[in-house]
Amino acid sequence: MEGNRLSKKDSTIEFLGKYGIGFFTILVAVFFGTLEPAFFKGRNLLNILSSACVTGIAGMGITCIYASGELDFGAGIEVATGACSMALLLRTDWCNSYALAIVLTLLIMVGIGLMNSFFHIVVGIPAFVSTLGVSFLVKGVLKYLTNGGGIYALPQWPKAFTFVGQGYLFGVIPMPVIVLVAVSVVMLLFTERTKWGKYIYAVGVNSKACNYLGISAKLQKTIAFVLCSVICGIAGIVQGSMLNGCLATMGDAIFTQALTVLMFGALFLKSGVYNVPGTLVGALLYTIILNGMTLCNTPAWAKEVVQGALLLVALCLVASAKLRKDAR
Amino acid sequence: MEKSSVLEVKHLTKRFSGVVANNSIDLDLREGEIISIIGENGAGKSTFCKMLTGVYHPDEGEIFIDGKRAAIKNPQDSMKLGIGMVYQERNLVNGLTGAQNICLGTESTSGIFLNEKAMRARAKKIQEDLGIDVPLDVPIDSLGAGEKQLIEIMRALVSNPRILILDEPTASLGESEIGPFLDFVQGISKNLNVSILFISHKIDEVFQISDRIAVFTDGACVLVDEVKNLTKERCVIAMLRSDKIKPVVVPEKDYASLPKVIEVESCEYDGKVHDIRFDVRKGEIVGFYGLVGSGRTECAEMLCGLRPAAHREFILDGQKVERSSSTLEMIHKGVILTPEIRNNGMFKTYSLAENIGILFYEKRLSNKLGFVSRREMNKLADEVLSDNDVKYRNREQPMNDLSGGNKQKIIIGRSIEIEDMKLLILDEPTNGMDIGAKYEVYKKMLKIVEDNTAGIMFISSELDELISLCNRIVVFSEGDVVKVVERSKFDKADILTAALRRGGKHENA
Repeated sequence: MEGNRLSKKDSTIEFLGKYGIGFFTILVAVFFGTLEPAFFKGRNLLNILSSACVTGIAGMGITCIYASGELDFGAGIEVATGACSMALLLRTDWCNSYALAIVLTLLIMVGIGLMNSFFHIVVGIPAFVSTLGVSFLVKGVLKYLTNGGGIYALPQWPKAFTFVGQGYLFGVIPMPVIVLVAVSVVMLLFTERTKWGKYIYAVGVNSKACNYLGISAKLQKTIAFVLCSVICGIAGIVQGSMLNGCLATMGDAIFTQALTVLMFGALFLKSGVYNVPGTLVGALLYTIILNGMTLCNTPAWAKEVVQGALLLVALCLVASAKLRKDAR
Repeated sequence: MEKSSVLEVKHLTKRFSGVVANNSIDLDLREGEIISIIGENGAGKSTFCKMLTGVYHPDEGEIFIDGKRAAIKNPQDSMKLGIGMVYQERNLVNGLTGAQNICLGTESTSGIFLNEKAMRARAKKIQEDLGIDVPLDVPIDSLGAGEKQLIEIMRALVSNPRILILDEPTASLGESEIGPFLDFVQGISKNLNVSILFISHKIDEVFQISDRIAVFTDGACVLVDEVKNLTKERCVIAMLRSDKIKPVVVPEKDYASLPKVIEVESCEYDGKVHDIRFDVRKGEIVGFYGLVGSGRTECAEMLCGLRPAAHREFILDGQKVERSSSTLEMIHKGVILTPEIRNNGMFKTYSLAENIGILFYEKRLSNKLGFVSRREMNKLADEVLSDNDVKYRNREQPMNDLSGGNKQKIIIGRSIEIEDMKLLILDEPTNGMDIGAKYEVYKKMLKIVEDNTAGIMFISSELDELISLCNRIVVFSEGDVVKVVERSKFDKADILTAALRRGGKHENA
């Protein structure tokens, strides 16, 4: 009997540990809904979904790199690069197809990922400073190419440019949501089902053990850097399309947001492990909080305080979850 | 006249979760005396030192300093009582000068600023007392290993200790540096009247430097006597463990008729050409014996592509293998190493199934698109778990739940599942296990070589288990193979002597 009751208590704790952040998200939504009835209007809900997309997609990118035990401070600038690259390419005469621009942009993103990996893995600079350096460099180049300001609504841009961010599939589902779902599904399959995804996680957990098994930590980390950059680039393509333009500084806020989302995500399903479904839930929670505060006319400074506090709370929770897991 | 004792320990005993690490040790150290402590790996030398320096606390027994009972609760207490310790690993700060390193932690100050002049003077004073000449004003990165070791010792002398413990101080020194270093150590004891405990693996230098020698075996101090009453042979015999391991039944085989699975001559790695001449036959267990730092693990890592090599060439199953082969390629060739540190062989938080499966994601468990089949993985995991008699609840439980023996069974069990397994290299596989678990590992090893398709390189620091299990034993010293002994000629004293000797020549027995 005693044993049974204990195990029941244990399983409750386990259940809360797994899904607690999901319930918390619903709770926060209900809270804002009662505070401001406009919150639950269909239009606002769609709004929330759309704005969760950029953060969510960028979150998928840094999920990869954090899973491999590394970090990328350039995630924000990678988002900006995705947007600016599309805008600039489609301004030229020779790049007249949207598809070509996408392909070239993704190649540029691969290049940035390789650059990050080169300075950290080959040269051996700590990732913290090397990715920061690369991001400053890229930001400078972007500012030069966009003449220091932004590029907005050029007439030569094809219709597709705004469709990805502002269009609707079947007239109902916003396109960014489709992109987010597509990226998430691919990432979920990649991380949970393929050997490469499993290797990236394994390297993050114990890179020494990987060496003995013939898994090259350097190669896996390089793959993670490239994936992070490419996925952040996709987030940028979506964001540029939403704005119908681009700006070298447009990704500045995204890194902290994506990081918070990632950390909240690590509290969902697999305690202390960065995972794709968790990042999705995290993105939703984060956007609901921001959206709710906007509806309630919270001043800008208070929003920043809340954002900072959210990041710290999430980091603390993840750190304690990891400690608990290691102590077992 | 007999000099008074500075340090005396009585019945000092230390246990770690039931295992006796130090068993009722009695020893006294007199003023200005040098006692060498010699013993095999795990004989209890470091545990003993750590009790003197307050890192561990004795379970039983007493420590007396100058005849007064001393309670050493932490390293600070030990320093206050005049005990200085120089650890085997370097603890110097690169970039700082010799003088700055010597005064590290005890800096002289004037106001809030460091007083470099005073520090320099203190370092100089020690140097003059010792009558040596080490550059004190250049960053220590530019000094050689021997000079760094002197600086390290000078640092220990800053607090004017009366007892100095040196843990394997010559381990990192080159051939030519050892002689002057030993003179220097004798100088400390004579000129500064400091008593020294000198821990070493090298029997020659022990005889050169000591007043008395203490031999540790199985956690006990089995022999203490003046050097003049001792011979090297007597020390080696004292170091041998009592026969505690029952012989395992090793089936007779006609080894000469079996093909060689690996043949190595010499390879260049870690900036040196290593003479590592040995071979292993299919169906044979070959033991690799040596003391800590003798280069067995390094050699194994090099063979598996884990350690970069400037020149790597050996014959595997009749085919030449050259330096470019990565660990993955070696695994595909049928060679696999299980690491000395068990945590490096597993993912603690992963399930048993994943810990087994991860070695086979690359080929066997994944399709062309890279998707891993969970069904196949579970099937393989169940096979490995039952074939190796692992005691477990279910295959989804985390690896960390299991005992050391069961973890090792999984690590070995999955390794032998690799395609066309030819050579299994086990690095200290029974480390930290109880007798029962060890026997299961031995049985498993014998089973692996039963059908003569694969050989085992068995690296171990326990001579007894090597003698009971192996057909041959390869002895390492200072990175080279110094001796290969056949089973019919196994002799513990002989093997231990070879491992203890420095710079010995290769010979076949």
